[in-house]
Amino acid sequence: MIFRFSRRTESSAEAAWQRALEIVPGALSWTIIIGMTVLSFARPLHAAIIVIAFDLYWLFRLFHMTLFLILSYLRLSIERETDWIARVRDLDKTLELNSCKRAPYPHRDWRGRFSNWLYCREIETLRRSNSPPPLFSDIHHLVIIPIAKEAPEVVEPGIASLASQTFPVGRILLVLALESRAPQAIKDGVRSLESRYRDRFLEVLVIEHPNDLAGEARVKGANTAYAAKAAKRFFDERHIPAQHIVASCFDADTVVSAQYMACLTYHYLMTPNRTQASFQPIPVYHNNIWDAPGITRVLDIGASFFQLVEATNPETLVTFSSHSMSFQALVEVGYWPVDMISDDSAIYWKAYVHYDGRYRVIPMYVTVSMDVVAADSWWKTVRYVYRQKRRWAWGVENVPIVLRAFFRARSIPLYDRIRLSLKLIGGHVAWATWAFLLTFIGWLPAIFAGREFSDTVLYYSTPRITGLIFNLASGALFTTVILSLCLLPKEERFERPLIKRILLSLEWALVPVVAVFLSALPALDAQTRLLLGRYMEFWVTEKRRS
Amino acid sequence: MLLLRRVIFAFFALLYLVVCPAVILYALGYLVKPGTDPRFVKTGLISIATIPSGANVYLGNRRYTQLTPSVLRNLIPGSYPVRLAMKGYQGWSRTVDVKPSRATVLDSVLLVPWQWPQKTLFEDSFDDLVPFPRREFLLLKRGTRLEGAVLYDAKTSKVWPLIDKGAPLADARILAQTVMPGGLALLMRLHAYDRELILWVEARPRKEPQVVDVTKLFLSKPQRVLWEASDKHHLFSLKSGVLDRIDLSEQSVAPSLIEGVRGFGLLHRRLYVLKDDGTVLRTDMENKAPEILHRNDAVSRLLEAETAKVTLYPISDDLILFLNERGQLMANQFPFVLVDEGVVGLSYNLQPEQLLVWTRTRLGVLDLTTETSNNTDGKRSLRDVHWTDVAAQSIKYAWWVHEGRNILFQDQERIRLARIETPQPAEIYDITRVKRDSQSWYNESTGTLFFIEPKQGSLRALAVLSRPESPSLASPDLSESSEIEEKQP
Repeated sequence: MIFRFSRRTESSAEAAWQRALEIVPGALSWTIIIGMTVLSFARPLHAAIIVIAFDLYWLFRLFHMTLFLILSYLRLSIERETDWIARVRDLDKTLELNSCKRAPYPHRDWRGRFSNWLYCREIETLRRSNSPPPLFSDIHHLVIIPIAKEAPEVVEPGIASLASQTFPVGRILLVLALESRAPQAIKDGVRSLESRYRDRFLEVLVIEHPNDLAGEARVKGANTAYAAKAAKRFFDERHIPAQHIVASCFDADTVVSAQYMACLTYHYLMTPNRTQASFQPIPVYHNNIWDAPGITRVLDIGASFFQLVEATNPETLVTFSSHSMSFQALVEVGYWPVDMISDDSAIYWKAYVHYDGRYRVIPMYVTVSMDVVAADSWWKTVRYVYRQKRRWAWGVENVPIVLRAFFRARSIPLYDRIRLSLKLIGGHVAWATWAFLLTFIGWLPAIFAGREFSDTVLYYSTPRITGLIFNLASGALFTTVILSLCLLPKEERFERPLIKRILLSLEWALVPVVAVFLSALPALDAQTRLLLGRYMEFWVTEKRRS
Repeated sequence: MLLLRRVIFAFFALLYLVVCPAVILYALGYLVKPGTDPRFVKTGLISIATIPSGANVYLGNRRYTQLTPSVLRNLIPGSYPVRLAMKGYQGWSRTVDVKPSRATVLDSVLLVPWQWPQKTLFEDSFDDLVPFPRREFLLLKRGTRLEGAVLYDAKTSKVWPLIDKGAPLADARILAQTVMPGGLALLMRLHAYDRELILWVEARPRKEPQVVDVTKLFLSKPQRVLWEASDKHHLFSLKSGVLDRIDLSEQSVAPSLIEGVRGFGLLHRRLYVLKDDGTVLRTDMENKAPEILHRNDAVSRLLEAETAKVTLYPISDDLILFLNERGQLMANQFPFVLVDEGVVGLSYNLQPEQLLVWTRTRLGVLDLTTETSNNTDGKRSLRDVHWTDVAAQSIKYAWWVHEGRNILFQDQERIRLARIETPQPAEIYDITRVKRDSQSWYNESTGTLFFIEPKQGSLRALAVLSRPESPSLASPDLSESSEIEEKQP
């Protein structure tokens, strides 16, 4: 479907429609918060019943999520040892011979057998799809790294990790998408990186994005889209077809494992209809995790866990942060939106709408590591984290655009449109409200109970039941703590790693505070801004390495 | 993974659809009654909190494992005999009705000890005490002479004589004293050298009191003097219908601030005045912004007809009580006349909002929180006073004990405790005896009764409440029995 995926519309009617839909998420969130508060005073009996039902629902969702978190983590730990480049190199022969060769796996234990089983299933799926993959030797990678204010020492580790790939680095085009408004010192640093790494890659292009191009906002998507167009020209000159190129857009601080490109290539080749797919790794924030305050550590581990859970549901998976996609798809949909802050999720919806629902995200069980937000003081760090989460929550700007698109996209099955709309809106509303409901509002009926309510059995039952629910929920939290310790990188530099891990476990006691003030509140802030029409400007998150 | 996800989602969804209604029904009190004919019943519960806590709870013959405060759940509606027992305390029993889905709350059951703990605070012999209500000071009087009066600090147990022996006013005879609740100042009227003197006594923590002769500031012998505890520099003196304002800090008088005054009161730095013509007005301390509250309405007509002296008790912005010399208690809200005659004293309780009134023989409680709407103009109206006959002969003083569920009162020389729980008759307990014609005082914040012991005249303190108690919320307790109690035949 041809649809302009932008807040700016082509008619006043459409503009009115857009504005009306922008109000929906914030209005829903505030209605829930204010409504439950008022109900707690006016009808505490009804409010208490709703609180119990909600708390139970939350508990079941928690158990559900924890189960899939465990499964996803197991898959991640299994695939950590997979030799992706070997699989990719052997893929041509495997398909040709029509057999599933046992993939080389160092441990040959149950993990190896399971990974091999998955591999064979994927081979079978690919064979049945009649979508033969291109040759491995034809695959090229485009990596775009947008840079606005990031210092070279923040960017270089990521470039170095790309230069150390098991995938032939000579088939990777690295584009450093530099904002022309960046300080001169940054520009000089980028040029220095270019000259140092040019010989390692297919090419290193530094594309300077001009300021204030017509139709663009000051957003990362405008920069990366400009760079992608330059990359397109580069590939066209060398007659490298778009369907043989996989594009990746990484944050400036993203560091990938040596097998990342090989893993990405594998998934690209194994995916039927690969030119209508994005590929989402698991983001972790390990670059400076030991230098960051506990409050941000807990928050970002939670973000990683969320992505781990989402990875188990490809039907509703949306791209987030550093991600990859078919370059052909990127070109066909018109690149990243140039006037939206949430370009990472917007590109998925843009492609989904463009291809009439025949577009999906393939989860990759491989990690990409980024920086935890850290500033030179604790309070400054908290402020920066708040702003970063608010920017993440600004993904709510997709809601009105997606809803407008769905209204017109009759070729997308109605069931899918409703399901995805509900998930999109519901996800944002839950993000902004659940923490408040659980932490504060759920207790209001008991606290402000008048005589009419305080003389009921329900008044005495509610704290008991709610307490039991939270006790059960602590079991899920315990599982989360264990998994968080497993996910963290090795801390060789600490003399007493066991004590460090115990202290890390205790940090999870900050969850109620973190959930409210650094997750729900920024989300509510973002939705309220959208509701009021106070659109956000891009604010580059400060990252610091010690 | 997709199939697995769908299966697990369906499982959780189904489980939620089953568990959620079941939990909500349980929360509302629904249970399946076992037996040959199992059916849903709507149970109730009894919530009990005692002072002190830790009493054994018996329901019929069955003892609950949890001591008070406790919640007895899953009770089939009906009547249950509840008994509380605790070592050192008299037993308490009551038949309690349990209603479906309702909680019967017994949250301030005061257990009466076999022996009330008391101790001697000061060995010297005294005849009377005058409290500084809501503060830690007491004026102890020995005889009627000023030299026999001392100030006692209950916090530090220090004693300060008001005047040195041999001082010029040592022989002055104390005629009367006035103290404002919450204040540290006391106004004393004395007779010395064939004239009346007025002293201003200020108690100061850990220091000797400050005594100042303020006689010259009173233009005439006052009938009534009031001041606000938070503003001890400005006094208001009423004499022959004329209200004067006295400024102690500047040692000045603003005479005839308001004339034609039949009675007045103070609340939150505002004067409430009843004039001779029945007008009730409210004004600031300088009378610069008077505001007519009642004029030519039912209230003012009722008060205009009243000829006796009236004392005003402003309770809130919209509720004023009027007490005349005959003991008739009136209010500025319907039904206007609350008690026809005989009221000796009254005491206001904030939580719950109640008014305690007493005559010589009975105690009355007026619930100020609920409103009936008997009148047709839609304005707020007060309920009737609920009287309790306590078989008293001459109640002098009465106090609330712990949030309005119990009343301590002095009936001549006896101190007694009345447990008031409507609609059952009050239970009366004798606490102790005090010296004849002496005043006692109960400090609500510490739960302590101060009195003059009848034989030696020493100052004694009796702990009515073992420690400041507050009702506790029900807590999730998985150890409680979930047995259903059968309805009592």
